[in-house]
Amino acid sequence: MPNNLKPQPRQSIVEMFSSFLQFRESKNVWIPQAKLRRSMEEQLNNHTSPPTTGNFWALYWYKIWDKQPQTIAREHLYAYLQETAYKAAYDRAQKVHPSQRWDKLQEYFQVVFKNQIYERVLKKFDSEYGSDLAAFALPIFKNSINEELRQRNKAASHSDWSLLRHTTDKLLKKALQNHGLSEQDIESYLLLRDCFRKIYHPETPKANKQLSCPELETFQTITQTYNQERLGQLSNSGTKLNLNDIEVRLKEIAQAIRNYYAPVMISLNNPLSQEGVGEIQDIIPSSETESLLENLIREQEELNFNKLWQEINCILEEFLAKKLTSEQKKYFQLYYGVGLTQAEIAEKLLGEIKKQYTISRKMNKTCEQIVKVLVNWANNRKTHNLKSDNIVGNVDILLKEWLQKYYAN
Amino acid sequence: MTITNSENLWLEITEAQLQLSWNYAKDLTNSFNRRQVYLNHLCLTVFLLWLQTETTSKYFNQPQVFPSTVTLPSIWSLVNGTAIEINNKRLVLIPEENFDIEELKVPQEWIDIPSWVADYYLAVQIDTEEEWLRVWGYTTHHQLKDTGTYINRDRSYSIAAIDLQENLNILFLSEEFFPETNTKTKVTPLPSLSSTQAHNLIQRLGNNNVVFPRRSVPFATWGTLLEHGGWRQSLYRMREGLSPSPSVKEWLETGIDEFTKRLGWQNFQLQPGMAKTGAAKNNHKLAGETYVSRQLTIADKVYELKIIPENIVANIWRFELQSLEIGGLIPEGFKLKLLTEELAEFENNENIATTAVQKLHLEIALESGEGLVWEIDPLPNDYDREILRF
Repeated sequence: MPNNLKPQPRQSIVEMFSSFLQFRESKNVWIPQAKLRRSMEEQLNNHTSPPTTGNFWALYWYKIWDKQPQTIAREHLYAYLQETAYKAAYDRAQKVHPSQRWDKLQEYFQVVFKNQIYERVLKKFDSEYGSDLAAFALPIFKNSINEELRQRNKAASHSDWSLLRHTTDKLLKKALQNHGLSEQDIESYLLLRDCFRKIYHPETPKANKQLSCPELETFQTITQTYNQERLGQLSNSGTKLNLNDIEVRLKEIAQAIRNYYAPVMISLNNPLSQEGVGEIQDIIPSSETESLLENLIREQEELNFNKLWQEINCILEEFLAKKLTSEQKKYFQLYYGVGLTQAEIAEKLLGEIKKQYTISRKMNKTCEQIVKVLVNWANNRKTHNLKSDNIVGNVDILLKEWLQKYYAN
Repeated sequence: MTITNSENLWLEITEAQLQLSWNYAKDLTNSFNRRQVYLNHLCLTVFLLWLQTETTSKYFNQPQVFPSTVTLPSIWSLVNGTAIEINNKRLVLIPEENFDIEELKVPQEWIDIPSWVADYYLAVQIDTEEEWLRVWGYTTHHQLKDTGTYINRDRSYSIAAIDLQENLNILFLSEEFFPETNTKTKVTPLPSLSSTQAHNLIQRLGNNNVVFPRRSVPFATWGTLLEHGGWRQSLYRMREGLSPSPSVKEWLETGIDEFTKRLGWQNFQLQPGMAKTGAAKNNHKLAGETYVSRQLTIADKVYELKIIPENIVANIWRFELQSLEIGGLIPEGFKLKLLTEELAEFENNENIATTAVQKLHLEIALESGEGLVWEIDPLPNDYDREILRF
């Protein structure tokens, strides 16, 4: 087990936007990608005195991605966010036994690649006012790891028959695709699962972990229903299945779901290889990217961002000091500052883990109070940059980013 | 279990709530959707409790269940989802027991039946084992129509988790600050259905062995059948092994069945003295000694709708609306109206209070077995159309 699980932070701007983390036997290393390296160097060479912060370039690539998602900009952003994903995985791995940390760290880091988490970050971020992509991404990465682990634990503790009842069509579809089935087969498997789920359920208020194989009679109903339904539902009517086929297929579906939940190792240095990614020049004229860059530099120079943030800082610091109770402040401090989960806060302060729900709701309520103040501020501010179609949502994101930063210091 | 996303609304479920909802659903004859009824009841109970106890904003004034609390089983046993109305906005809760939260799936009924369309759709994950539920995202009608995928197989609109707003507070704050925000898209009106068609469908789909009634006929037909509270109730009754629509004559002769009692109907024996004075006063010949009635709440006041047999042999009936408050009157402008089963108007089918009056009434002679739907304007709380057979 390596002594130091923390990777060396990347030093240069070029590295930050062109290298991917790889786990080697006893340490992790940054592996550069030639294409990304060239692209980043080119950007820096185009400018006489290029800005030197990672954050600036993240915003630059973000703006390009926002205009044209299918460019190299996305790869640069993925490379940049590697460090944040690692931090999220690292924080989570601190909670497991030291002897398991190295393995778990890799597993958690992988989770972030699954389920479009990077995409989620890019989609929800708003560069008009969001100032720090990495700070914005961190809680999303952390949530996604916790969420995936929760689902894996649930899946692992339930029987096949129960698992079949507790999976969305969307996940099922992905699992069956991974299992190698054709679209046509997947349709018929989804229909079979519909029949199963409608006909067979636990006869107890609580979900039954050990839900057992259905009785013969139930299987007969499922078989009969499937064979009727397939005629109207499946494009080629499918084939008639007998009771045995049905049982075999249902077990196959359950196995596919289990495989889907199993930790997998994906090639990390090229997480985007499956997508067709063009060079920026192919899609956006260079004059446009140049003016984008100039604008961004000017904005930064004019300290538009800083002005905005200074204003927000004033409002929020004052609000926190004057309006929040000591309990409310304590929760924020422990959650954003110390980095405890709401369950840990509940245990620490109230001695009862179930109170985490209460704490979560109280914190959300506090945020609601603050968001109201910020929305009023945004409405009154004449030259604000906030998109009007979703002011409340954007202000909420802004607040969360601010809380992260405020308590981290 | 640890909270995995602090943006979501997480609510505890108590053993008592589990048991209450279980008892509510466990006696349903048709087993296919029993768990759906259970989960929707549980979801509604827990969510309403939170609305009523933990939210202070004026926005949450008096949430109302749509269309009506008492007819919810007729929806839940056919379609997943529960609608609540707050401040003229409608929210549909979609409970699921899935472990993952990859997508929100909204049954087409909540999107394409014009009178069912809601402003917001809430994705609810329920874990009965660990006793919590969470609202993990929400979206609007507009967004579901716009960016959702229509799934033909199970007639639903699916929207990926990535496209949902995960913090419910945003919904309530947006409503508070920008109540004019557009949430809905226009939907196509549904075709009408003759009562013969409706009865045939009810017979066919009312068969307990039909596993997926909602996908067994074209959506437009199904939607029309369901939108009509009376037909929906008939289908539900059939699937529960009862006669499709109750007859008021039967109520008078043999009493009211449990299902109908739950809707609020009661059987009354006219007090002998009252009958006489009532008859003398109103100059009516009472055909029997009994009548049926149900209580209604209209604009926070309590009323009673009575159906009194005037002449059983000639099948003449009297509908009567009166206030249940001491000295209470029917305010000016109130309208009592009767429609055919197909919701068509007919001659002398309504009575409007031109001034405040003690009673608003209608008398009507019917063919044997004919069905009627009553309406009152303004609409009573918890109103859902019902078909009464005479």
